[in-house]
Amino acid sequence: MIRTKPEDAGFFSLLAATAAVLVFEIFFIFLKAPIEARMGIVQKIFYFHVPSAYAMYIGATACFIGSLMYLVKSSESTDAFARAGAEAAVVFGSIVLTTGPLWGAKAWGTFWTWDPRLTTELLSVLIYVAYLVLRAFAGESTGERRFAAALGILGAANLPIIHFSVQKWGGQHPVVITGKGGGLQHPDMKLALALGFLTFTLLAVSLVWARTRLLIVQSRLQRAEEDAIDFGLDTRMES
Amino acid sequence: MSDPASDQTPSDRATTFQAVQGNQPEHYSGEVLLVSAYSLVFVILLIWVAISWRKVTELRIRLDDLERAIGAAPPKSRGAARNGPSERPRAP
Repeated sequence: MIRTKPEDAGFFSLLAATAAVLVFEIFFIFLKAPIEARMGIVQKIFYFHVPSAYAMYIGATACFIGSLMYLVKSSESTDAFARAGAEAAVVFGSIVLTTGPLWGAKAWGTFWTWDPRLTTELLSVLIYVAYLVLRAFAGESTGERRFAAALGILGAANLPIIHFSVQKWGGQHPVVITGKGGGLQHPDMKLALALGFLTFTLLAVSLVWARTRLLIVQSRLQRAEEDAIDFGLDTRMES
Repeated sequence: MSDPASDQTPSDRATTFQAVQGNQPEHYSGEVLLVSAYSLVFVILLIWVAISWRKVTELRIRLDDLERAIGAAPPKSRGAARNGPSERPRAP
């Protein structure tokens, strides 16, 4: 029998809320939100594409905070938080880079163009991929972790560039969400996007939390095994 | 509207299969089915995350036990690994 802790109850509540909002979001987008007049049903990609980009920012921010804290005071939890954030950034960034070209094929007639926003987004995802490759192959010593933390901070520097690239350098990428109310003309369209933001926020928090916890346990396990061998203990445990 | 299948005796229903004549009506909305399928896939994915969390909880409990065993190990057991596996005390 597994002992349940308050942390478990909190996580399962979060996951249940995520599942409920996610299902409602899918039903709302496809069965309630109106079809856009010019683009047709393809426009509905927007309700996943934009919140995914936002969720990528959440992961990247987690990586930035974890990396910064690790450089200030090294600990397993801050390192794991940074790594989990980078993983989330890659996952959600990949969703952005998959859904965007699908929309572009319909809107622009091409899957990819070297538009400033697309290029900076790709660059950002590649930075976090580099972070994860570094963590996977360079070992677990303090030097490698500190180097990865510096990369995690560098990756975050690209986020404002992605965000303001359209305003600064133009390009084809549309700006639908603006400070003046945005381009969504129907209330259900606005609600679908708001639900998308809520869904992907919950999803990003759930995944970062779960991965952080797993990485901390992995790190503790590795240290305990080394200690056990040093003490001459048999580390084979009965299941 | 009477159902042709209900007009038959149980033995007829068991031995004959009759095709629908003319345009076949769609009984279920394809849109709803598609959306339901996608929702189900995501819910299954989240259940998998929940199961993974549960497994990490199990692992953490076993890790606590291991760390307790290491903490309780006498100092003389340090280096016992070099003497062979048969002399090692076993973690709970």
